Parts: sequence; structure tokens; C-alpha cells
Amino acid sequence: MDRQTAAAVALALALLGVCALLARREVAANQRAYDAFVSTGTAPPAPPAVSGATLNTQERL
Amino acid sequence: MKLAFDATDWRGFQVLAWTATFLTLAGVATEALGLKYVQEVEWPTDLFATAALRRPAGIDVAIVGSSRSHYGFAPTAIDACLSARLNRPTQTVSSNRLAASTYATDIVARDLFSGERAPRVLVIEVAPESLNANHFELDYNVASSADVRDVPECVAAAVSGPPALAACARPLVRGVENLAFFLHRPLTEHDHVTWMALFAGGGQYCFGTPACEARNAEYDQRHAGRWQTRIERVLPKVRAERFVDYQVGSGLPSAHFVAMLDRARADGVTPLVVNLPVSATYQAEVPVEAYAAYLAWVAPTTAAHGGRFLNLNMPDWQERPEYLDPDHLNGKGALRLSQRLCDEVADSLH
Repeated sequence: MDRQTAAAVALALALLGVCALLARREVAANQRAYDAFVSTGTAPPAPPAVSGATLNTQERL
Repeated sequence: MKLAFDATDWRGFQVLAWTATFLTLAGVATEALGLKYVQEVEWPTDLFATAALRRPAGIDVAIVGSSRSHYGFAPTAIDACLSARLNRPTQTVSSNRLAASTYATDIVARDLFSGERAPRVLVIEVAPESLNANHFELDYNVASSADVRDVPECVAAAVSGPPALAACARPLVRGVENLAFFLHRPLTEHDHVTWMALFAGGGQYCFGTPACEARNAEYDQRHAGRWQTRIERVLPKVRAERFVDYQVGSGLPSAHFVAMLDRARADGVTPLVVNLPVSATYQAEVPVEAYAAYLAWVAPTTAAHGGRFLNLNMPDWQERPEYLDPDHLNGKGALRLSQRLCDEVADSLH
């Protein structure tokens, strides 16, 4: 592998790593919220209002 | 003739090899995060999948299907009813796929609700479209649901040519798409979807608190024009798009439907197959002969493989006030359907 190829591969892997870390953080936040709900046995928080953004993305259903 | 490669050719091969490696690594990483079920619509399934992969066992009722069961079954209403009947807390979850055939439904059931995580009752939504061997979104179903292990079966069944073969290859590279969808549209922007997935078992509607009731009313009010819009844009295409060359009992959807029933039985799960209602307006677009062929196959096949078939697509379930659009129930319809499901499964949970 020459230096240019190695640099391109390293850049691609670094981008993938950053994306995976961002996704991982999001997933972990959801998991923590669910675990807290299950472990405490308390009532869930009140549901938030429906957002306009969500309505738009649900038009396909 | 002698083949010769110069340095430039090898450089091209290297680029291709590294690209393939990158895509595969991205796919493995994305699915390891629990993001297999990210869809290009914001829907509780996305989040439920992330949580469900580590959700403890003990699910009483798991529901799998398409957008119709996403709207029609409300886990909070089902659990409220079951808990009162059984004098214990119950756990119902609903995990559905956009435009799902029973091919996609089976893969959701296989991934999330089998083996150690098997529920006591598995509710399987069916419709004449979902069992059509020529399902109108079968390629999408394959591309978004299949695993690498499903590729050989998919290739063998890909008789429709290049689009079907391309769908078969998507499990190899789907991770990049899912990661992009997930990051492009952060789920924190859709708080109520997150809430439904984490605290209400999925589905579109929740019941049991004033906040839920208000949220349901707000949703249905915002979608008040959806009935007419779908009549104008969707109904005219139903026959030509969903029922052309209708075949039931063969092809991937029927094979996976049977596999789903057999796996449930092997896991000690009670399968309940439900023919969900659609409005009379939608039903008028379903060809009579296709619907008859569907019922003649699905009911005896369900019984032969250890399941119970429940046909709710009857006239008393087809009235306009209970529908958001011609084939999706609204909050009122969802509450009624959820209570009916409770009646049907309570005895299996004693």
C-alpha cells in the first residue's frame, strides 16, 4: 500500500469512527432512559407533544 | 492472449478492495449498535430496536406487522386491559416495518422475539398484500430486513432480475445507509417517538394518562386531511400496484410466514394471526378473487402450523369514524382494536 492509499484508508476509518461514536452516544442515551424506567419502576414521564418534523416524515406511512 | 496488469490497474483494484472493506466494516459496526432497523421515516421501531436488543426477557405479547398494526395496536391499552384481567403487570411491545410483507415481519420476529427472548404470545398482522409473492415492496423488504445469511435464499428467489439481485446485496452495505439516516435525522428531534419506543412499547397511540389522550387527539387533528389525501393519491393505484399478478402460497412472503409459525411453535409461543381491518372504502379496491384466495390459504395454513387465525376485517370494523385514512386506524379505532386483542390473548397468559 502506498502512502496516498494509506492516507485515504486512514481518513475513511477515522470518519467511520467518529460517526459510530456519535451513533453510540445516541443509542446509549436511549438505553439509559429505558434502564432507569425499568429499574425504578416509576411512572414514565408525560409524552411530549407531536412535532411538525415528525409529521412530515410520517407522510409515507 | 496474455493478461497483463500495470501499476495503475493494481491501484484500481486496491481502491475497490478498500471500499468494499470500508462498507463491510461500517455495516458490522452499525448493526452491532442495534441500528439495523433504522428506517427513513421516524418511527418507534427504530428506537425500539435499539432498546429491545438489550430489553430483559418476559415479554407477554409481541406484535409484528406493517404500518397498519403500528397504528392499530396500542401496547399501553393492551397492558392496561391485560393487567386488570390477570392481576399482574404485563409487557406488550409492538415492532413494525414500513410496507412490510410477511418476509420482513418474519425477520423482525426472528431477530427480536425468538429463543430466550420469545414472548408468550406472538401477534402476526396479515393482509392480502402482505402474503403476495409479488408484493409491491418486496425488494425494499429484502434490502432493509435481510441479513447476510439470507442472501443465498434471496438470490435463488430473485427471479425479477437486476433490481431483485441488487436488493439481495444491500445487507452487505446497508450499514452505511443506516448510519447516515440515523445521524442525519437525530432521533432527539422526535421526542414523542423516543418516548413511545421507550415507555409505551411502540405503536402510534398511547392511553391511560391525560397527556396521552391529549397527544392522540393532537395527532389525529393534525392528520385530519389524510383521509382525503390518500383517497386521491393512494387508492387509485391500489389494484394496479398491490394486486397485479396476485399469488399466495408461494414465494418469499408465504415461505417466511410458515417459518415464523414453525419457529413460534418450537419456542413454545402461541401465535395469533390477525387479519387487520381496513375501511370499506379501501376494501372496495381489493379484488374479490385475490381476497378469496388469500383467506382460503392463510386460515388453514395458520391452523396447520399451530396458530390461530382471527379475521377482524368484517363490516362492523370498517366504518369511517375509526380510521385515520382508508387503511390505517385512528386513536379511537386503535383503542377498540387493542381491547379486542386483550380479549383474545388473555386466556393464553394465565
